[in-house]
Amino acid sequence: MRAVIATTLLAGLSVLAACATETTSAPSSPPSDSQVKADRENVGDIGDVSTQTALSATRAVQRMPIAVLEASIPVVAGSDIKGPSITWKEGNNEALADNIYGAVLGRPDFITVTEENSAPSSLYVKFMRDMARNVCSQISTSDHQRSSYSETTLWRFAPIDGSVTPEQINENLRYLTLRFLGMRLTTDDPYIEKLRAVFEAGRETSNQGWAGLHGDAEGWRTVCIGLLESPAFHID
Amino acid sequence: MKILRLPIAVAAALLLWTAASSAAPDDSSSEEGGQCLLHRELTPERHLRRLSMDLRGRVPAYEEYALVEGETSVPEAVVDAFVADDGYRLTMRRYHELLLWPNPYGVTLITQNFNLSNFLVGSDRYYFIPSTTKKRTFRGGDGSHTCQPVHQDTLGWNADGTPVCEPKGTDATGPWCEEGYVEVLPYWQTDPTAKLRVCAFGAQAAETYDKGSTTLACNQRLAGNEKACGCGPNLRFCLQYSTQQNVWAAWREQFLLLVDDYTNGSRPYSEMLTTKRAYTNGRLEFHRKYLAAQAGYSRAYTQPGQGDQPVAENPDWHDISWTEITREEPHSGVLTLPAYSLRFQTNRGRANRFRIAFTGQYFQPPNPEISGCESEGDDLTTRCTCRKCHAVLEPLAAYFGGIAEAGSTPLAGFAKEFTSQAACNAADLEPNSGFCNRFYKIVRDPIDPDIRRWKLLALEWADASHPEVIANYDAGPAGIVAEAKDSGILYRATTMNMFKFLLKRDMNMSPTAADSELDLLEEISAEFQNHDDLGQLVKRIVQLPQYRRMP
Repeated sequence: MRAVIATTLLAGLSVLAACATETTSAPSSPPSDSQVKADRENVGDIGDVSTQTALSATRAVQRMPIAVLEASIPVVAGSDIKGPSITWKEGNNEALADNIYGAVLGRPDFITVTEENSAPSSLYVKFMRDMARNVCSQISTSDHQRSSYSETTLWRFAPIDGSVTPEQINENLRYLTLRFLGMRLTTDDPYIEKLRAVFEAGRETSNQGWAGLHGDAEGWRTVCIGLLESPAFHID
Repeated sequence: MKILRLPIAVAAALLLWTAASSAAPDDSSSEEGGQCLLHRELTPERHLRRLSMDLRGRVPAYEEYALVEGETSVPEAVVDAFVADDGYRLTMRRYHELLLWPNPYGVTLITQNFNLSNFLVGSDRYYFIPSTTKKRTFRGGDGSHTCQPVHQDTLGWNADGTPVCEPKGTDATGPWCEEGYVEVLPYWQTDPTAKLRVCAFGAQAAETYDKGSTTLACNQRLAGNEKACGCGPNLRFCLQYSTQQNVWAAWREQFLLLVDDYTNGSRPYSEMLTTKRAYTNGRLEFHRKYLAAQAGYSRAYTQPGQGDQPVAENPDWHDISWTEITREEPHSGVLTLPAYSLRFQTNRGRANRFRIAFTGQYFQPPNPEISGCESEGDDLTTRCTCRKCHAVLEPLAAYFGGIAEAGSTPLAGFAKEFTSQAACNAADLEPNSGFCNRFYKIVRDPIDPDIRRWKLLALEWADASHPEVIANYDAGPAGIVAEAKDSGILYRATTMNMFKFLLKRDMNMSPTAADSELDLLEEISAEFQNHDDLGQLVKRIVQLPQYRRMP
């Protein structure tokens, strides 16, 4: 479990250096000594490191403030079967209230805390895992009680009665990534492929007797958790 | 909600997904071979998402992504719609809270003579005023005695309407007695059946008392030890901790309501700092009329003063609907609202926060100095090392001197100075040194030290050596705002603040850097100074190319 948290944190932090692990037009190897003359002039062809022109620094990357997170969860989660918006709950309380986790996660009170630390700390990552499971379970429970697929949040384009086709799965995955992450992807996008693996793993748990819910529904609930845990959801 | 555990296979799949969604660009581009290039633009969908979060404080709804389907960028009409959204109003509230910290939470409004504590007998709770002096006044003895859990009607009433106090004995101080209780519906209660059992002396409903030939109000500080005065009708002169919290919350909302009016483009933004307009509701008026005057000089001083709106006739504690009011000098926008003046309780604190927020300047710890300055003395504008900050800070603090420190009362009705202690003491309802010590300071004449004046604290250094102090005091906070406006620094600082709020980084102010944003700052702040519309400033910034780029 700790490994998952740590790895997720590292994955989250890696977005802050998104290009660090990606190849640019950097040299494949540093120039050898024979390529550098005594007067330090480099005669070796090491290529142009950067092909970019100098532009102003971009907008910095931070996780969304708690107030924004609190307002965004019901937007992506929709409403429950009784009508109120789905929010992250801790018992009967709103989990992001200041007396629950809101202050702990950094919402300032302007008395002792006057600014919000928007770094995605391990504490934040841990609580977002809890949030994802809580919210996605609520969504799944409500969706099970809706009479029409078009009214559901998680499986709007994919039936859960065992008749779903691969095309419908892909379409639903594309719908969910747009809804949760604001990413309009094509069916052959590598992310869709990886997200499909998440769906399949979640669906399999029902066959193993884990969740007790219908396999496909559990698959979509697992996809929901993945999306709400994704740094792409939390990074603004 | 029980959190379902996930099996290892699912956790592994989530891990792979999470890593995939973070380590690469947010939309793959097969034609670029998956490379991460610098300064790529966000896709229209992610740009829409960023704009929605920054301007409306939430992500877009699924249906809203249709606004950018097929587009290469987010249409300007969408940005306009976001700025007109109610979420933008809340976002601007958050911006100003981050800027000005307007939270008076924790300011003590309760005094012992107008507070309510309670004791239990079985499952019944009995309320009383806990002040030792008050208890001694009511019941004699050493001031430790409360009432007995017997209805007062059983013990009876005196002809003057005061409760009969049954003798109970003698303690180390003297004889003492106990009255009974009565049932009162407190002003803060909405349920008409939720009456409290209150000791009869504390529940006295008298609104005035006679002192010699003068009739005085029971809710004034001076009535604290008066036997005929209790908590007044429906306990309206007394506070509990919970009712105090309601006042803090109302002050905070009062501040934010005024912010709302100047961030929506309907009024010039800079007027937020100078307007005489404000909002009030029944709860705040109730506090002003019945509760504010009982605070002693060791508490926050929030009594209505000259320049405040007239006190309401019959304010209702349960009326939380807001109405607009007009104040007078020295009031100046949000800078003289209680949420600001009680959050920053010294004139120096108020000036410093204004300077940081609206001129972008901070006081830095200076290097010590030992020559060319005064090594001793109370004048910080000339004292070694201190003067490096205070030569600037003291004149700025004078702008805010017209509002009581540790309070919110305008001091326009206070004499600027007295020539004797007796005259200073006499300025209160009843001559006492507490008033004088709270608001005035003895200042000796620099030429003849035997000549002393009692000057308002803010005017301690208002002399020939510091001509700006009295000038700034008279100008009030509106004066410092005018200076900041005329010089343009108000607009430059606000541009920089808003840039940082939206782009999550400071502007690049290096004049030699290839990507310097100095010229951009001058350009945008000049535009802002011209239109004085915060919404236009926001739209200008979010339409900069650097806003749309991703790392």
